Amino acid sequence: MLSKEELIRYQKQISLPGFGTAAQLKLRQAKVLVVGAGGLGCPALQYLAAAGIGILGILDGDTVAESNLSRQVLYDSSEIGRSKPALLQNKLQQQNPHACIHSFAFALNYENAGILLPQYDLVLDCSDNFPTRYLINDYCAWLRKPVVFASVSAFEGQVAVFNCGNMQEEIPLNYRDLHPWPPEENCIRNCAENGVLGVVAGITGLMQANEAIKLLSGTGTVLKEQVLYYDALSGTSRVLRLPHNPHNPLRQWPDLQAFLEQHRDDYVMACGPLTEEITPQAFTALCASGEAIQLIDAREPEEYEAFTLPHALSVPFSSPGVAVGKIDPHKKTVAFCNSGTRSAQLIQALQQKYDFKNIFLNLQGGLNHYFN
Amino acid sequence: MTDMKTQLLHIAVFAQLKDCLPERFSKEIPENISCAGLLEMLMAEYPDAAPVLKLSRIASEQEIFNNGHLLSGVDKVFVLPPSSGG
Repeated sequence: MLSKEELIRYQKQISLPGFGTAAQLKLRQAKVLVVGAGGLGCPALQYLAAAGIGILGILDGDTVAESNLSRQVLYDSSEIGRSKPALLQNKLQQQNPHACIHSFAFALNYENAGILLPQYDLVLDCSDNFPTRYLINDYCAWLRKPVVFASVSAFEGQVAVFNCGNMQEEIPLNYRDLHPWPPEENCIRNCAENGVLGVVAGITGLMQANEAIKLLSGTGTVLKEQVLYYDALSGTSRVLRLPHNPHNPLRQWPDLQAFLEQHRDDYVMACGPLTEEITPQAFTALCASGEAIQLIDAREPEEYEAFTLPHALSVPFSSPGVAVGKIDPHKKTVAFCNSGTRSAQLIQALQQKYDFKNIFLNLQGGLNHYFN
Repeated sequence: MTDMKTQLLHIAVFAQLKDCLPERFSKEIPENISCAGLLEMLMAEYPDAAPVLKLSRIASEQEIFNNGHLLSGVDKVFVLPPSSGG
């Protein structure tokens, strides 16, 4: 039952035809995770908190930058350098003391997704990169958890609700029905590279919040099996039907957990300058040369336990801190994982965060190429 | 030998594709070409955009077509690339 204060606070939406206290109660019972507290996340979170979502999770590993301020309108100049989720937790809690706001000041990855995503009823994908989008999609498809997706580019936005509708289906309609495979790195530019009009992110994020509220409250119809394309320059929007795609790889795998495991390198965001690489052939020659080298396995401990290269140290990319003490700071080092993505990130972390000065080489293509 | 039948198709591109292709243009296409065939034609004509076109989808005013869909009788399409901005 809603309290007197809640009845007053939400009076304007409770009084709407077809909404009422029943819909408001559904919002209060809802647990929503918003991944990304940027251009889409700010407007979506502000209105979801105001609308009375009971538990709201905010996940983002970034801090506020000056270039964010033209579109991420919940932050101000005095907050540059501070963690986004912590700032929003305070602001939104003040805006609506009835809401329970959780903040997670880290990026979503394969490991924490398995802990966080099952705790929520609905996920809003407000992220700004393809690895996170595919991770959210694939994990939520496996969990049969609805996702309100949105993205923006320049003057355009797109919104859709995935994993919703006929839940008897083996794999509900999802983002891979729209774009089956992620692009190669740097093929598609993000907002930072391509630019986006702040108001476009605002409008699109609010459309996301609207879909979430409709879905959770059972009001109206949501954009399931459809994608809305918004063009701010012409002021038009189109809702296009999205059929099942025969090339959606999730439907070609009998076990989605196995798919996630097999493709976990796809969910790691490559960033920064590339690390120096060594080809599998050159690596074989280096090993045969007798030169003293150190091998680092950047995969997770369970992958390392199952199989690794002889004499390799386990330094998991997801938590290198535990193992960095074992690394010889003077030896030439070759790092590897399955495809070369996690090991590249680990090398960057070892150089930048832990200040290792070793000569680091990343095994090109990882174990997949080495053994093929 | 018979002439290949063609049809005029009006094409509008979205998002990043506007950097490499005209935003709106018309093109004579073989009458029974598929969406995949159209994308291949565009990739050959605009090689700079090929990596993005390869991932793009073709849609009518109502529906996003699967790549095997034939475009006979369709007079206007949108080319929709993925976007990740947030």
